[in-house]
Formats: sequence, structure tokens, C-alpha cells
Amino acid sequence: MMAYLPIGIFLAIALLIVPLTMVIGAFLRPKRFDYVKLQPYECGIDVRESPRGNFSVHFYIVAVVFLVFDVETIFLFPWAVAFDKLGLFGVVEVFVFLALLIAAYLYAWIKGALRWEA
Amino acid sequence: MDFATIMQYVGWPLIKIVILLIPVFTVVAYMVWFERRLLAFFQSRLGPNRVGPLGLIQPIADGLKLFLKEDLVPLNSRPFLFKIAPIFAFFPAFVGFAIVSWALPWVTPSGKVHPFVVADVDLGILFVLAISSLSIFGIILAGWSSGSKYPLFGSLRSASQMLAYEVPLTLSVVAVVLLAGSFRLSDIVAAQQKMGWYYLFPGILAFGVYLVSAVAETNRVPFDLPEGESEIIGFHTEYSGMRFAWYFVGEYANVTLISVLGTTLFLGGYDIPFVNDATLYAAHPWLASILGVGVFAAKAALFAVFFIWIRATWPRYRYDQLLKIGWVVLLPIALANLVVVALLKLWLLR
Repeated sequence: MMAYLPIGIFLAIALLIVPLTMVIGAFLRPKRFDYVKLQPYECGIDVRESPRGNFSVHFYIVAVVFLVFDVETIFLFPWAVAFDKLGLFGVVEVFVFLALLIAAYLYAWIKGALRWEA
Repeated sequence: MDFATIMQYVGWPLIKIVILLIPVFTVVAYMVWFERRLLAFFQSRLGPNRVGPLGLIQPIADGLKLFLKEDLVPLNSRPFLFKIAPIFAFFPAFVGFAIVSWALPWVTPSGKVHPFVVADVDLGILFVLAISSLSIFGIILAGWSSGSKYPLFGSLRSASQMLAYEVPLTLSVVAVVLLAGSFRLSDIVAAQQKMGWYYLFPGILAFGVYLVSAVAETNRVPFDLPEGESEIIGFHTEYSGMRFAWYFVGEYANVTLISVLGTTLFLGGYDIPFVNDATLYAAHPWLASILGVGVFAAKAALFAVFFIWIRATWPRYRYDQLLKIGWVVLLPIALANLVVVALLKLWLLR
């Protein structure tokens, strides 16, 4: 576990750099309040409604399909590392696993989850 | 806890981190300059050449300018999330450098081994993949907290693009892990040295998939819809000054990291081509280490030049084409490649 300690130190430094520059910069940069300047960018038109409205359900579907395949890659990593120990049996098992996944992939494809034009 | 233990676990890593941080920051800053100059040459222009000799002080001037700009937080935004979002864009790209092996480990005459890496952990490449996924939070938080329509849509587009290309990217890395039998980056390089081939050749499909998804993951042309510097509006529309600069730095740090990782995974990392590294190291450890780092940098620079070259050559894809390339083209290729590599290793590479 001690091997991960330097990563922790690195992480702490990386997390601190951004706030540090912001705090130092606060003493140097101008700060002039202006109501119009702080309006959201809307191509010059007044803001009429809340921007946090509805958005296309496609983004949600992409996220769900991603979840399936990302979990799949997590299952593939241990097999890839232990490939030599598992041998032919492991390969056959993973191919069965992949076949099931490809079936799921084809289902998603037929259902139109991967199509964006519609 | 005596002094020696503290030095071993905190002192040396800190020194290593500082030694690593300086070149990484320099490379990231000069990548911007390099890209602008190279792009200009592609288009028969000169590019930034006024600030200092060859325009070499340009990145410092840009950084200073952004540092002194006013920091705007829109009235409509969620200030806390708006302010912390750049941190998430920056640190995932950065922490990845901690596990990269830069040269063959040093062996002192007394037999102690000093690896050329901040933390040579056994989960190396998996750790990078895990932590670099966190950069999506930077994008989603920026888009949602801005309180403005264009950043929100930009961030959604960007997130679903990064999700779509993360799967092929990971699968191409699985192929390399399969060939090497380890997550540790120094082991992956050692396995390539032992085999005598870089994984570019048995994993040529994986390399192609890696290249394309790397371009998409770093939001670069031809997959730069999330930003679309020239016309479309992206997730960091409401950001200004230093916070915007951190998004920019994060992007270029990502490009650097993905070049460095690609070099390690597919081009043999610090392995010096046409030379037996172990013999050279036994004879001249200093020379071998310096040459190793140099060769590593040169190979990674090839990636960087390639990315810029693509940017100068390719027009941008439409959004539906972009998702189609990810899900319908790259994913099947990556899966098929995995099957091919598994069979190859089972029968040929014993």
C-alpha cells in the first residue's frame, strides 16, 4: 500500500495548484461589478427562461449503453492479466462472455440506441 | 518514525514530484506554442514569433495575461460548483504522470533500485484510466453550474462523446495488458523488450483504435465539438481568466499524458530502438538513462506532431457521425482485435 503514498502526495499538490493560483490572483486582478457583464451568454438577447430545462433523452441512452460496456471492460482486465494462468479455458469462457455482450450490443443497435439521426 | 523513514516515504517522492512537475508544466505550456507554430507552417503562415526569440516567451505572456484577467462568476450560476469545476478538469490529467516510467531503473553499486518514476504501482495503467475518467466531472459541473444554455448543451455533448470513446480506448488498452500480462508500465515496456517487437505490430488494430479514441477523448479536431473554438460554443463559455486557463492547461496536459501513455503501450516507451538496452545499461548506466528519457520524449513528440497534423488536415465531424464512429465502428473493431490478440497469444507468442 505504501507504493501509493507518492500518488497521494501528487494528488494533494495537483488539487492545491488551482485554488492557490486563484487566491494569489485575487490580489492582482481587477474586480469591477457590472450587472450586464455577469449575465449568461445568450448571443446578446435577454435571458427569458431557466437554462436548466429538458434535454434530449438520447444522452441518457448513451450513458446507459456506456455503463454496460464499461462494466464489461472491468471484467476483461482481470482475465487479461491472468491470461497465462487461465489458458485455453479462460479464452473460451471470455469468448462466451463476449458473445453474450455482442448479442446485447446488437439488441441496442436494432432498438436504435446507437442511432442519432432519428 | 525516524528521519530516514520520513525521507523514504515523503521526502524522496516530494523531490521526484518537483523534478517531474517542472518539465511537465514546461512541456504543457510549450505544446500550445508548438501547436500554433506548426499549424501556421501547415497554412503557410509564421505563427506567434514576436514575443521573444521565435516567439518562445509567448506561453508565459499568455499565462500572465490570463492570470491578471478579471474572474467572472455569472449571477445565474451556482458559485461553489462553478468555482471548483476547473479543479476537476485539471487534476485527473495531471496525476496520471505519477505512474509513468521514464527510464530503466537505477541500480546503485550497493544493489538498491531507484525506479525513474514517482510511484511504480502494480495497477499503473488501470489507475490512469480510472482517474482520467474523472475529468468528465469537470465538464459536466462546468456546464450545469454556469446557468447558461450553451455551456449546458456543450457539456452534455462533450460528456456523451467522452463516454462513447472511453470504451474503445479501454478495450485497446486491454489488448496491450493481455500481451504484457501486467498493468505496471515498466513491466509493459520490459515485456516489449523481451519480445523484441513493440506492441505496435501484434496490436496494430488496437493502436489504430487507441489513436482515434485518444483524439476524441482529448476533444481535439476532428472530434472537437465540445469546444469548437472557432464557431460552436462549448462547456467553458462562461469561464474567464485563470479558471479558463486551467481548462486549457488540463486539455493540453491530457494530450501530453495520452501521448506518453501511447508511447509506453505501443512504441516500447523508453526502449532505445536497435540497441540492447540491458547491455548498454550495464556498460554506461548514465548514458542509458539519459538516452532512454530522450528516446521516450522523442517518441511521445511523434504523437504530439501527429495530433497537430490531424488538426491541420481534417474537417470536423458532424455529431451523429461522431457517435457512429465511436459505437458502430471503433467498438466492434476493438472487440474483434481483442479476440485476435487472445488467439495470437494463445498459439503463436508462447
